[in-house]
Amino acid sequence: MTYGYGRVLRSCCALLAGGLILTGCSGSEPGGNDNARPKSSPAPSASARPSASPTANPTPTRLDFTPDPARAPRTEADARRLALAVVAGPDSWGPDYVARRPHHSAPGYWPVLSAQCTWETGTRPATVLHSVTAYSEIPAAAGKGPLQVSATVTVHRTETDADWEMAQTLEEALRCPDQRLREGERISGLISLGNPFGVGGNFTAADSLGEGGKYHNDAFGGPQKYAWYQSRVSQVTVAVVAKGAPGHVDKDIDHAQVQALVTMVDRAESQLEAQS
Amino acid sequence: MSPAAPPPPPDREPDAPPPEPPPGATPPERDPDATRPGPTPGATPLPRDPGATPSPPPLPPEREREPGAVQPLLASDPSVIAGYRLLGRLGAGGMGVVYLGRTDSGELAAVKVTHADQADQPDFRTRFRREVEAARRVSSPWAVPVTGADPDAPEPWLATAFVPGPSLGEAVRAHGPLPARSVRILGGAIARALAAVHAAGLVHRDVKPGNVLLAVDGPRLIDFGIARTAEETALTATDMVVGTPGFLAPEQAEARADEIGPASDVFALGCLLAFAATGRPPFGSGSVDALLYRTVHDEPDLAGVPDGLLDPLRACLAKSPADRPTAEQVTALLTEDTPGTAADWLPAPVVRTIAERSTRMLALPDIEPTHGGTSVQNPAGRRKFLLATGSVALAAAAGVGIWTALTDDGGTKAAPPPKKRRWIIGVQADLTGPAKELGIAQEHGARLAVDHFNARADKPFTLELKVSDDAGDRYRAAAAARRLTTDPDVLGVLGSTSDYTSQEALPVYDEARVPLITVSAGLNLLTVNDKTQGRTILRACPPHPFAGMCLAYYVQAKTRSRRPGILQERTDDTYAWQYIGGANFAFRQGKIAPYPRVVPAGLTDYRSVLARMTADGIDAYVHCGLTPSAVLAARALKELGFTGMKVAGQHVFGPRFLKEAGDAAEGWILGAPVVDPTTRKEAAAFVAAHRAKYGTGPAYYAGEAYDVVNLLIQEVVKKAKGGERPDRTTLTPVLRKVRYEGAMGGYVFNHETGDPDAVGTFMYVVEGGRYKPLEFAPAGPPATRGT
Repeated sequence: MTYGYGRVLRSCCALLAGGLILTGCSGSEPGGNDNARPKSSPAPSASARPSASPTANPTPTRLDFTPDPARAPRTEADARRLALAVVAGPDSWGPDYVARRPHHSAPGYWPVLSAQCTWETGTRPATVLHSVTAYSEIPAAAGKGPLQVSATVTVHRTETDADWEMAQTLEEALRCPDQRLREGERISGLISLGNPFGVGGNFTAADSLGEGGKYHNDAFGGPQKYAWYQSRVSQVTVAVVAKGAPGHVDKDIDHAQVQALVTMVDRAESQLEAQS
Repeated sequence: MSPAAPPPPPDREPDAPPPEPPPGATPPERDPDATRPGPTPGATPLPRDPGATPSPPPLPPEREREPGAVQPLLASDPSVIAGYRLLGRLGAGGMGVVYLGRTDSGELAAVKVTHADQADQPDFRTRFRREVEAARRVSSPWAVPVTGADPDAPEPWLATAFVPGPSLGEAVRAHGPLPARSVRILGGAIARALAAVHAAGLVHRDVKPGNVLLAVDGPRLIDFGIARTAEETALTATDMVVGTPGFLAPEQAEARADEIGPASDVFALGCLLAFAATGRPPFGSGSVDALLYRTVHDEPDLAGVPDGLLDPLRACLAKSPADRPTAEQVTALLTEDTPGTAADWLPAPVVRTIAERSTRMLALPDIEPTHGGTSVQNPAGRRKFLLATGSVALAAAAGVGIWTALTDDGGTKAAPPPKKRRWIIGVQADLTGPAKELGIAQEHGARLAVDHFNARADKPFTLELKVSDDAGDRYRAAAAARRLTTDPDVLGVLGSTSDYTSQEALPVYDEARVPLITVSAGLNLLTVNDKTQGRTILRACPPHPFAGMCLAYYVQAKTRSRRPGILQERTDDTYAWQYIGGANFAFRQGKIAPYPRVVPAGLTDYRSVLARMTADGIDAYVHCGLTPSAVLAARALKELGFTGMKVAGQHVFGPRFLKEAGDAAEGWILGAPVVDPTTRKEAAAFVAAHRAKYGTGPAYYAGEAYDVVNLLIQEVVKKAKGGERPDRTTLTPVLRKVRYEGAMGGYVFNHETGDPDAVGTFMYVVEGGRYKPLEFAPAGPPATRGT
């Protein structure tokens, strides 16, 4: 039995399970000096086939989503239109959130994680049709730091390309448990966990993952919560990230984050699914 | 894009916009959401604006609770009812308590328990049973059938799945009347649900806004009047008003019992739709007497009902039951399609409230509990790796009690009549599915242990083996477990074979407090320091993350690798992640930064991936994935002429890897939680017995199964000294304290978790197409590196 609501709920549970796991493993030893780490590599793509059919534990239920190939974006313009229709603005996060300015990332924006585990400006791979990030926040208020969040939609040329992006995101936390976001901001103790459809309670998206750790901002007293959630719908990935701030409760951040993510999954599905 | 523009500061972003737009960039688009007109209602219901017009009058009192937190369980509450682990209270009254529970398969459920004194009223149980049977015949996506119930329990209970959405009443109070299209869809769906209820021979009798739940894909009708006690509604009384004033048919208002029937529900549906469309009940509010009078004598107030809805509503609200359409006909009058999967049948603020409710359910505990710390001796660093238990506040959970369907049969039957007690060892195994070789081997081992005991001349009783095949199917695992736990003569169980069958079965054993011992399920989520899960498990194999660590320690002990490649293949993502997480941690412990790769499930071109890794200089390779991908990796590495150590774990260890990888398997090192019995002189008698009984030597896992069943038998015999039959619910803590020397080696368990307090990963090398046993993997980072 598929109740529409149940799908959302279970997906949330899956994310939480990820969140729980993310809390414990922060004690890893620093990995020595990074000698030349491999560059964040565009994944080999043409060779892989879509991973729609996990073989180890076939689930009796299928994702309740049938894409219409005719609606799949093929051009950058299609992809841009879809990304803007899907990406979560402040409204999707909750009533207290407002847009940051500029609200959207610049065209072509594509950060990459360097060999030194620092995020740097990179070149968008040819396998990506369009990607946009929308920045929101709860502005600083009495006793509370600014809670910064953002949502990213990436439209790939193929589902396989999107699948590789999911894998690469998982890889990043394995390669760099500690990462520098920019001057004065870093994240540490990252753990990432994947939940393909049917695993860990994910019955909403073809694939989902969570990444979490601690967020360090020189402007804040102590470490805060950091969490990144990402789901895949066909050739599209949607992701939400939240960097905690003093005075904000983790649980509230989680709720907003899951809500924004689920909103984007639903929007992406309605953009791509076959209309009966 | 524009190389001329100064690059924005490094920023993954996700997290902050560039401080200023790059020169020449187009101004950022407005977020479509941000431009939605009108005030944005909060996600939580806000107090009504006193200035708003027209202000709906207060609703008549409803029985169900207002939305709010799920209350914690009281000390006097049970922790488990039948198949449901209870998480909190949804509501309580004189008649009983409604709990929020979770089934074995993880579904949330509302479990309504009727107090024994209420249940003992004349005819209550008979009526309850009859109505539950009728409700089981209700089939509609918009009605939530009861699927679990036990009328014969001392406190009869009834379970349905739990839906967190707000009721229609809450939604209208918070966000105002629904638009015409929403009302049509609502009406069509609830009319269909009522048609199904009526077709099953039931009359709902209490159709009202509080009994309609809103979900993104459509509404749900709840609470078909089953198991209402006299106190709740006086279901059979002739002189009492049944239902909720304001949403009652005239015949109900006048308690004309013989006229109350399906048409009464149709009248109530008319009231409900009028309320949805206008925010006001059509017969107003105020004192019950006045309401009932107006219901019988006055015309409904339909001012503000959209034109297209007026006729259908008037038809529903006809004073004479005979003049009303049937529920079936109402669906035809409201021609809008059913909601289907479209999420747009409700206004956005209501959808947001639904989302909010649902996300709050996140905060419920016990989703996938993780490890708590343990007091293991080693490997060093284990404590750090252990995953913290997430204790999530129950208090944040929200939602009114809702009744929806469960797939679980939920019922537990009373114990069979007294008969001669037997002494039974249970085996739950995959005998016919993907891991049947392992399952059959384990069954053989268990059978030999029972035979061995029964062959004793001085045996105090005769043991039997009872086998339950779950076919490796997680969806059959709980039922397979129940076949054993519901037999009161089963003293303890060996099983299950696989990770996910064990995960599904464990709550059943926990509930029954029947000891469960596994020799092959390494999923880390099985053993948790949690009061509600994992109370009964012991395992004689390491959790996968520790096994992954052991592989990395072995590489460090045997090679000088400075750049081990570790690859996660996502077919069984949980297993693969646990292995690679362990390996990554253990290499870093040894001050080695590994080279990780994660690849999608179903990848066939390992050659490209591994060519890149070898070109980048990996000097060892750990494969964290299943056999088919390990075969592909082995072939690719052979083609690439890779000379470093090649390692894989438990799920690759088996005949299939040898057969399919052929020559490419040569030299691979595999770690598994089993020892080769032919290498142990202590196992000679076991091996001989196996040959005698089955005609072949024991397969891997048979010896470990034999050992742990012997361990179980040993403790049962000790406890049974003096003629007393041991209480199986007390055995697990005893078993966890035993240090047992078996044919395959020693077994020591962590008292808290039941995990092994030992390394437990034995290494093999493939030589000449066979597995050649090597040695146990090290327990921690080796003091000296290999050569």
